[in-house]
Amino acid sequence: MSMSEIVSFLDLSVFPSVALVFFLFAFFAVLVWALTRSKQEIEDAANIVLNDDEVVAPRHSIQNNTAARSEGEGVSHV
Amino acid sequence: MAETAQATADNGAGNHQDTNGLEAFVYDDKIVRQFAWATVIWGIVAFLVGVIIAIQLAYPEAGFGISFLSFGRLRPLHTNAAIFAFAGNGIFAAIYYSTQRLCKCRMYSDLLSKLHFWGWQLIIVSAALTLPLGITQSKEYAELEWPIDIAIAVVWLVFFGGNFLMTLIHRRERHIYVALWFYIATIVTVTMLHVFNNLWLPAGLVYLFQHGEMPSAELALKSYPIYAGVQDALMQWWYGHNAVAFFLTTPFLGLMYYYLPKAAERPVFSYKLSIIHFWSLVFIYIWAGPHHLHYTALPEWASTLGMVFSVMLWMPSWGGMINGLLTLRGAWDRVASDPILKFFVVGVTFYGMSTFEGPLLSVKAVNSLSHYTDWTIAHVHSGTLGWNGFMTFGMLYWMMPRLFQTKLWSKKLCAMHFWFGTIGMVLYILAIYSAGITQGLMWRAFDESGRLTYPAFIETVTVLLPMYWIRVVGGLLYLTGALIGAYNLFRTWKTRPEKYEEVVHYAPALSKGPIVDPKGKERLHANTALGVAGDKVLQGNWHRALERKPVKFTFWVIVAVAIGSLVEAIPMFLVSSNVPTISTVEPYTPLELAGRDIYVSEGCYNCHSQMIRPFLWETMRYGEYSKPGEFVYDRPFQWGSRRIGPDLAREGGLRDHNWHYRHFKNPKDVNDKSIMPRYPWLLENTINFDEIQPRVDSMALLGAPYGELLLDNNAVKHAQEQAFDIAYELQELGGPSYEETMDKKVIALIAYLQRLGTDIKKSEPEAAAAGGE
Repeated sequence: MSMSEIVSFLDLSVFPSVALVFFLFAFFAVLVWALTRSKQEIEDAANIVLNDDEVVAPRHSIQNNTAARSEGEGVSHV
Repeated sequence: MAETAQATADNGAGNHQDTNGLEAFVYDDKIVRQFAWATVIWGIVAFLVGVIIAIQLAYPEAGFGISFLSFGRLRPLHTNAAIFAFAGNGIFAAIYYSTQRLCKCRMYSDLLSKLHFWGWQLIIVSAALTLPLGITQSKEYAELEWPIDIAIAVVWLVFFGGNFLMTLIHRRERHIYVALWFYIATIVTVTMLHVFNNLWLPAGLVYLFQHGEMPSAELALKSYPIYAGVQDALMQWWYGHNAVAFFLTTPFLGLMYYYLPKAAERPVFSYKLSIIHFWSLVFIYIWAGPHHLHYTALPEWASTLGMVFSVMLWMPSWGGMINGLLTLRGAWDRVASDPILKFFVVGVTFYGMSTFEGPLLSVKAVNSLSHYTDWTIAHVHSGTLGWNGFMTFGMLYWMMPRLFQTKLWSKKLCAMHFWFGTIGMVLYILAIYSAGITQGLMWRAFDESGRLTYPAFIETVTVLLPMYWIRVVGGLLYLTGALIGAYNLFRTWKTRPEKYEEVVHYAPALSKGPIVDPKGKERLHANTALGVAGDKVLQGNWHRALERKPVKFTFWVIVAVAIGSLVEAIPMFLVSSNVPTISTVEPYTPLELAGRDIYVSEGCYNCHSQMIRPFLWETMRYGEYSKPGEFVYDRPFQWGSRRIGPDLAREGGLRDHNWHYRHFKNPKDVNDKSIMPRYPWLLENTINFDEIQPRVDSMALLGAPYGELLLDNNAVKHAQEQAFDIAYELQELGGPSYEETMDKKVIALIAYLQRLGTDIKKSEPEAAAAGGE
């Protein structure tokens, strides 16, 4: 019996139904996980984008680029 | 200014060890600058070609009767330039800039970055040369021929994907920020889409292997897809829709999650929502492709599946849009004065509009009106100009002054660009929405006696011309805005320092082994074995671990996108009842096949569909609706996606050869209101009969039963005989002498057009006789 015959015997609705169940399971798992994460963890993750340009300098020259960010934001002289 | 230094101890990857255990590194901003400039330049090219073809629709003579300026050849150039050159370089610039900073490391390999940049530009130039020459596969947004396809696969997956993944693996920031998730989804899914939609048989190579010679350069680049008809259509729109999803949506969402918080100087509104947004989107989007094929010969189960998942897409799409807009909470006052934020706000708003409209258009009842009309074009442009264009411009205005280590030259010009772009877009889409809805309603209008109100297709075309002119104005305004933007960025670049300072960053290397939440560990020790497992799930360590392991994360993204693809493709390919065969449908004759290849080459699918839907207003206008079995020898399928001209599925036998000849020579000779361009080169250029046997041989390899036509160059002899017959009939009908036309391309094209849709009208004995000729 060929693969084509086997698949032809199956009801087509089987494929999307199985996938939909899989999706719903995965969706609720992600939903539960996302909603139960600690506030600190979420804040840390969300703030990565704002801290990513910081220059983490060695101890002998501790500086960060906060000043650089504010200085570099300026635009326009026309 | 932060402490800066010249990177003197750069080891080639921009990394070196500091004595305090911190690693020093320098970002590769040169590659970002290169991609950013490429975005600007190719953007102007894409918009300019868009304006040219918009003018051609309103004023066909703007093609000047020149082959490489014809609408059918330039339109794919416009779409490819907008998608892969403008948006493509834009996302690469955005990704190279943000990935290095989010990973706190330089890109893994400078060499791969350079190969990626120059390889991609070479691909764009190849497209710009081949498409106007009519070298195309004719599959929308996948037109490029097989050698370029291979180059795309290598550049995208090896140079770009490999470099990106290795950068993630060598990162110094443990958490992989959500923008990077969207980039991962982009890379793996586009690879999958590109490879599986571009499985072809190169006709020239086949002949070269069989006979040790190549008849022509044109044939060397020619390929036929391994899929035919319905299956080819499913694969193409699985690709076409998901090119929008994973080339024009997911990377731009990644861009939004990085650049919008940067510009607004506040974190994304809800990081939790971004996680749910990501997984829902990547799982659902991949299913939606079949909604492009409602009421066609595609089996109904597939198109319904596409519709259901398209409607489900509303939720994650709007979740993302709301998350983007609410990121500006508390910063709305700045939107009024900051044109960069304006670009982002309008970009995200257009994302919301487009992702509302997309599911709406996927609903079958709406689609029956909108499909093949300009409504789809308006929808596409609100997404591309509004979402992709404005997000890209916002990103460039924010990023390029930083890359040039200076300030933006003119905020006023930036604001001017914004307003030119916005007004241009609004003019464009309002005019084309009106055109689309007008078209759809006129096609389906019946009078009191039950007849079509507008039986002549041309009536539904000429009424649109004022709207086409408004589109030209809208496009010109958008192009003007882009030129102003380019000038502003150029002047910004002129104020750069003589030598760029390279800021040395320091960060600890990523620690080995997982970080276990101490609180969670205590709880785990107190539970039973079952409880331990459950607790792990509830703590979310499974996903936390996933976020920190890029290879595993990538694997699960592949699983998410593969499910929808396989569920649609496997039954379509393996269940034979999906494409019931029709005994009278036979392969094209060698001359018809050559004519079909000319049809493909000229991009006729850009204006003409070959798919009659089972609606009364369509069957009354065009004839019997199209059946899946009619297309089993169509490689590639030519169903099209819009009707600037009428459907051609049943064109065969409707008009005589001379009508077609005169129509190609000058459409206004047969219809003075026609907006079809002239095709004088088809009347002058000759058929290369040496190419016909290799074309037939390739189709036979793919399953077409050509029998004796495969022997002794019989295909060529058959083609010459049929060409003589048609040329002679043409002469009898008052056309030019047969000696003048029998070797011209127009004869092959007429042969193909006269065959279209005629197979199902044949009785079986007639078909058998025709096959035995």
